[in-house]
Amino acid sequence: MTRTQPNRHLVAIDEYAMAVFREVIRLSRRRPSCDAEDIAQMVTEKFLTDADGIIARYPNPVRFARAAAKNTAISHERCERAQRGEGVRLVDVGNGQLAPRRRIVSGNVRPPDGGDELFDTVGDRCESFADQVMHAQDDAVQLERCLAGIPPGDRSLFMLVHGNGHTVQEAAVLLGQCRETVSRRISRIRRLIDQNRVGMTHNAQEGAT
Amino acid sequence: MTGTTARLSLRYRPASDVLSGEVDVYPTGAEQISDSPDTDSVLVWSRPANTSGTGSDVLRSFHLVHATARSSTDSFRFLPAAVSTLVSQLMASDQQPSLTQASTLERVRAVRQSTHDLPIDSLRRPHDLIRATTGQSPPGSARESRALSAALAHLATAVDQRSVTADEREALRCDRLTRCLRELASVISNGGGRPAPGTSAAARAAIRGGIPLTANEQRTLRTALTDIDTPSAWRSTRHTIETLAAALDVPPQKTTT
Repeated sequence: MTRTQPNRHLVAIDEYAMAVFREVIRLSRRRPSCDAEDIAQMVTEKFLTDADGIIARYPNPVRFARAAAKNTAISHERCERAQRGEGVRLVDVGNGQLAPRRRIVSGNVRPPDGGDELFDTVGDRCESFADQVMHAQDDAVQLERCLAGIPPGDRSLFMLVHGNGHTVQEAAVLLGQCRETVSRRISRIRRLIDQNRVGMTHNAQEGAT
Repeated sequence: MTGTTARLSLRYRPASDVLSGEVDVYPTGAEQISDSPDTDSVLVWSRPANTSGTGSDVLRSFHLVHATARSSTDSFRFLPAAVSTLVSQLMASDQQPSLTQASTLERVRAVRQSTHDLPIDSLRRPHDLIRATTGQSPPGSARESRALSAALAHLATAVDQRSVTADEREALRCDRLTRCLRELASVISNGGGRPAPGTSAAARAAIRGGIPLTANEQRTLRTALTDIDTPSAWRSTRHTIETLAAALDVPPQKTTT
């Protein structure tokens, strides 16, 4: 069926979307024009995913645009940096050499205060099978101590990103949450793990004395 | 830089009526100067390091909101003449898909673009804009812009409440006017005392037959929306708009045009 006359609801959504686009362009006066348009398009597409709900919460499109533009601009910048290869951390890859790569806490990363690798995810082929099993068991115990006090949901999320190698964006899609929320959750888990590691080091020192 | 050419990329989004342009070549080590004469336009100029004054500024990028609406009022006088001509050609050649032919998402993404190689000299800041930026009226006060914004929002509500037509087309025209007035109210409220000539031009374009205003009221509103582009006249403009809104709050005695 061909509709000849647009209805008021359809026009209202359309004009709201266009007003959002215009306001984001006004807000992005310090950005290059192509970036401003990309951000405006992202915010408008975000509106169109739940147009009726957003209109109910924000009757004024200018207010919605101002609320959504900041986070979208941050996401856009992060995305751009990732595409340019910026923002990766320099990780000690051995022999005092640093290489840009993602830091994997559950992998064979060295503790910040130096010393041996905390966990070996890959067994040493020079070791005997029995030693490999013992090391793996030790690692499992240490990993369990590091993750102590972390709720099962957060533990799954952490393993998803740092164990299985999913990106934060992929984990967010899998969990049905926005990328910023997942990123904040992972930062919180990292802080807890760091506290646990400090406790482990302290206990080990006390045990040695 | 004299004698060299630069590539100008123009992009026009017909659905949102946003025009932007970017120049790919600009002097190395140049200072970047952002110029926003009003809330609806942003122009970025490059000023070569060894020069001073606005006369040597070369266009780097720009955004214009409500470009078509304002093209009839100021003809993009703040853009270099060569760019202004190309912009007019780009917008005139555009065939916008109607609301029934394309989804909102398709309309948001629709872009009309063109690229042109122009001499650098033709991208220099026009003298009209230099005069306009040095001699323009001071921005309105925050208090005055808030009061004007409230008056516009009140007027939009009054127009909305007066619209009791069963005709879908007239209702759409009334909706269009009220949305334009509310957008203008929000933009002026957040604009730091600067006018919004593009948005006000769009609101003026929405005043036409089928809206619940008499011919006299339409004329008054059109004049007020023209005066609103001058911040120094905001006090009197607010008074006019408040008077009009108060008159519209009273139920009409007879059928309006």
